[in-house]
Formats: sequence, C-alpha cells, structure tokens
Amino acid sequence: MASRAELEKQVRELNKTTGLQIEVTAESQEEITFALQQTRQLLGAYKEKYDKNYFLRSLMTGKIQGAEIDAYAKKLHIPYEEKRVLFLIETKSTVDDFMLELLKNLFPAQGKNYIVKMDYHQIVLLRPSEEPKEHVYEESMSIAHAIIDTVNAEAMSSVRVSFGRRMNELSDALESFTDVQMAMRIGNIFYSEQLVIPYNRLGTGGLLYQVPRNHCEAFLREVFCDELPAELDEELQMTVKKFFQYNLNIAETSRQLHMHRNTLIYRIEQLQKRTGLDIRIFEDACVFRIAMMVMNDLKIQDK
Amino acid sequence: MASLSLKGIQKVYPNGFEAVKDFDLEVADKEFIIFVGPSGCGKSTTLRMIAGLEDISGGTFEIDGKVMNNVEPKDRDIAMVFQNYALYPHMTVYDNMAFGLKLRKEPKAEIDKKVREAAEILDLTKLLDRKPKALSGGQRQRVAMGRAIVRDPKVFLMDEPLSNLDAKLRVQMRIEISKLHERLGATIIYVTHDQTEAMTLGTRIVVMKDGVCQQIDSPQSLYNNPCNLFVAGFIGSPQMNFQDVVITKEGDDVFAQMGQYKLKVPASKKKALVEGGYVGKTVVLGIRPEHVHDEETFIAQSPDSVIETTIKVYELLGAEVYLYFDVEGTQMTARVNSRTPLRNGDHAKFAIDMEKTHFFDKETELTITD
Repeated sequence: MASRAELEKQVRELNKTTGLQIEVTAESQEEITFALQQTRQLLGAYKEKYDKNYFLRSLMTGKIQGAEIDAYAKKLHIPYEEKRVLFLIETKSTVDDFMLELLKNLFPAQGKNYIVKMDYHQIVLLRPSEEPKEHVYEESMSIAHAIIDTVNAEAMSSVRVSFGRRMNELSDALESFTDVQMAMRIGNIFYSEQLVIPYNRLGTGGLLYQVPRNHCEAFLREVFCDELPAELDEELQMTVKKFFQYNLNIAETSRQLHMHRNTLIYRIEQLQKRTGLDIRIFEDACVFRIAMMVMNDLKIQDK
Repeated sequence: MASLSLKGIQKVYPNGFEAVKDFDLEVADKEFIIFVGPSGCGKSTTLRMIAGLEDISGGTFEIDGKVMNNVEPKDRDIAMVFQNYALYPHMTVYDNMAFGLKLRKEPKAEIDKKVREAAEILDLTKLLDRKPKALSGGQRQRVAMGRAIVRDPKVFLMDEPLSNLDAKLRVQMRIEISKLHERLGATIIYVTHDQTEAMTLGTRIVVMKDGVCQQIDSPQSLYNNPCNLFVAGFIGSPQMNFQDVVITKEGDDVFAQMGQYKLKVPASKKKALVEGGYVGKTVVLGIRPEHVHDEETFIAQSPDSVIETTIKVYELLGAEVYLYFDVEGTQMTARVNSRTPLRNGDHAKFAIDMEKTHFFDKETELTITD
C-alpha cells in the first residue's frame, strides 16, 4: 500500500529533477496511490526526455531539430559547439551489455565521449576531435581499428566501423549519422572484405550506389547484350580480377596465376565472345569492372 | 592446450573477393606457428576465421578434433592479441586485466588469482596499480597480452601485436613473446608481415601470398629450400639475388650463362636441370647475398663462378657490409665481412658459391633444384 512518506519522497525527486515546484495534495489512500502513480510516470517521462542517450538518439534520427537541440544540449550539459567525429559500430551478433560496458570504459564519459545504442546491431560513438584538419582521417582510422581490435579480443564479437567527416557542432549529428549509415551499406555491398569504411573514402562504390536500379539494369543489358550472366564462373572471375590487379599485363598475370600466357589469352578471348568487351583495352576493362560491381550490387540488393 | 586442423579452408566475401583459397594446415599442441606474407595475402583473414570473427566459406576447421566452423568465438576457448590494442584509460593495470573476467562474472578470488599469475609471468606485478598513461609502449603491450593470458585459453591468436612499437622495443618484445611461449607451453598462431619476426619466433612458418599458402616449413628449411621464387625473395634480408640465366651443356658439364659469364653448375644441381629439360632454356638463378664472396681465397678456388663489377653502394652495418652492384643490368647484393677493402666506385671481383644457388622455372616460378 502506498504511503504518504513515499509520495512526498517521489515529489521531492520530481522537483529536484525538473527544477520545478510541484505541489501534490492527496488525502485519502486512494488519492495517495493515484498521485504516486502519476508522479512516477511524470518522472519516468521526464528522465527519458532528458536522458543523454535518448536525446542523442533522437538528434541522430531527426526527431529533435533546430533551436530545440541547443536547449536540450544545455540542459544535459553537452557542449553544442565542439568538433566531433561520429563512429558507427555495427555488430554481427546482437549488441549486449558486455560490448556496451567495454566501449563505455574504452571511451569514458569524462573524456566527453558519448556511447549510444541505436538498435540491436548498431552503436554510435561520438568522440571529440581536436586534431588539426589534415590529421583527422588518420586519427579516426586509428580509433576505428582500436574499436575493432578491442571488441574482437575482449568481447569476442565481430564488428565493422564506419566514420564520418568531422562535425563542427551538435546539429551536424543527423547528417553525419546518415552519412555513416550509407557508408556502412556501401561497404557491405562493395567492400565487404573491409572492416573500416570511412565515409569520405567510398570510391567508385559510393558513386554506383547512387545510381537507380533501373539504370543499373539497363547498363548491364547494354554490356551483356541482353544475356545477363547469372554469375561468371569462378575461374574466369579470378582470372579477370588478377588481370585487373596486375594492370592488364598478360605476362605478369599469367606468371602470378601460374598459367601459360596462351591460356590466359584464350580465357580473355572467351570473355570477349560472351560480352563483346576486350578487357586488354583500357576502356573495355573499365566498363567490365563497373559491370562486375553493378552486378554484385544488384545481387546483394536482391538478397 | 590444443591441436588445430584446417582443411580446404576458403574465404569468399559477399562482393566476390576471394581472400583465402584452399588452405590446409595441421597445428600440433604447443606449436608456435607464424603466418607471414605481404599485406592483403589473407593471413589475418585466416586468423580471423580461426577466431570465429569471420565465417568460413568452405572447408573444415577443428580444434582437438571438434569441428568449429559454426561455433561462436567465445565458445572456442581462444584468446586474441591484436595490433591496435587499446587499454581502458581510467583503469589500473590490474583492472585492465581483470575487466573482461569481471564482465563474464567470474568469482572475485578467481579473477585475483588469474590476474596476479599473469602479472607475474609478464613481469607486471610492480605496475598493477598504475594507469595506462604511466606505462611505456612495451609495458602497455604486456598488459594487452595479460588480458589474453588471464583467460587461460587453449590457443593464442596474435595479429601483428608488435607492429605499433618502435624497432628497439619490437626486438625486446619478440624475446618476451618467445619466453612467454616457453612458460605457457601454449599453442600460438602469430600473424606478421615482418619476415625477421617470423624467422625468430616460429617453430613453423606459413608463407602466404594472394590468399594461397605458398610453403609451410621450419624457418631454416624455408631459408635454405624455398619452394618458389616468391618464398625465396620474401624470406631473407637483404633478399636473395635473382638473375636470368640460360642453361647450356658442354659434354658432361652444365653451365648457367649469365650474359658474358659462364657459371659452372655443380654436380648436385646438374641432374635436376638436365632431367627437367632446361638445357637451352632460360631459368632464374637465385643466390643469397652471403653466398656472393669477395675473399681472394674463395675467388681463387672458384674460377668457374667469378663475376666482375663496380661497387655502386657501400653500406656498413657494423659487423658486416652490404655491397650493391650491377651484373648484366640487374642489381645484386653481397653481404661481406666489414674488413673488406671495397668501397663505392671500386672495381670488384666476386665469386658465387654455386653449391648454394637455387634455380627456378621462369614460367611456373617453382624451384627446380631443391
């Protein structure tokens, strides 16, 4: 049964938390129980609204905008004008308390770092960055690798990290979060072997990602003359990749593949028969490389 | 501790990139295995598959006979040490080492015992109350190792753990790791791109390139009997000298024609070249810099393998000297005694120790004579 002392304690806490002077009058036991329930709800809602995690999550997902940001930030003692880099940490398994604790201790709040759980697989680290502009990328890369290596070793979990450009103020968090999410998606499609995906190093993948699907399909039809190969056979793919890796050099590629140069030429000519592209010619090689990337993009989208 | 078995291991990423191809390896209990190779050769990916941090696309991986392909990393009983280790900045050395165990809710007394034992092994006992800021680079690295040791795993996986340290500290830590292996009696798999680290630490070395295992052997065998041109060039510093030579036969004698020089192939190498059908063909001759001699006695005893040149660069390294010069348009290196009178611009005579030469097929790059 709720007591008057309990209600008074709850009201004192509510006043302390909100900075307001709320008075509650309750006489009967029924009124006390009802008042206690109401003040608890009010306190819960207020705490949630003025919780740093809640605020930062809302900020990054665009639920808080404009002048509200500054006001909330002041209330929560989060400096508004501070240079920061936003890191998105994506986990293969579900984010657990172990991983959150680990990150919170690796990047303690005393250092003005903020760790925010976004969903079951994503955590954001907002970290101050005072390095000169030309060193920000290296610093961010090194932090991203430290996150990966520490989470791998301590939490035994597989993670990938993307990071954005340096933000000048808190209101840039929405844009930066959108950027890093996109970088992560592009990384998953085009650079799946990479563990760190910086937003400002997305290369051709970043460009192709922006192309609408119907344009991609039209491009593939054009390249493969309406006979879209479901998948190039593994051996041919490997040959082509090596040929690109060794700068379209027949002698070097055949040496690296331990293959006679005539075998390599035969394979390249087979590809030419299928696609009309002679990848020994730079321009055709470019078209074929892009076509391979587009095919992979569509394949992953379909999955 | 544990034995590991990797059979036909493959890693293909969703974007089609094939990082590791058909990788086979048997690791015995308490072995110290090194994965070495250039950047992007698949060594770290293989280690991450062993750890369970990357899915295995093909093949079977076993620890102590149990298939581990789909076992979660935390259930594999392994511990890892990486290059970019980070310590918890506001915690003491003790807490840094205990943190993972605390989060795993191990009993306090057990944690204390494990941390103190690890500190003893790593000579960190006196530093247990210090914070990371007050530690040197080498001490921090030892704390990172300590975090792995306290878990008392079956297997240790180390991915370039010394790469962030300066050269002097690296040498020191190399010795520490070697001692650690002896003290722990653990199975260790260690990834590095540094062939000196590989040669000094490993009981066996796996040389990788482009996702393919090139050779698995003891450091000594890799150095003396490289299976192909890549391994021959990768292992050894300064690297092995390579020269294109044409194999010729006059009566019973076989020669390696290197431009104007006709080098007599010793009986021990002759058979493989003749029976392999290399007479009249171009092959690659490899010779390590320490087997190119400038001593007059050696030159006098080896009239069939003398070359003449002009010294381009003289590099004194204290006890020895590296001499760089061109032969038939290709740069060669000789590693000679520091008492050599040769200097930059000097005309010099060298004799190649033909017993120590290696011959490689120019097309396949595989060894012919070893």
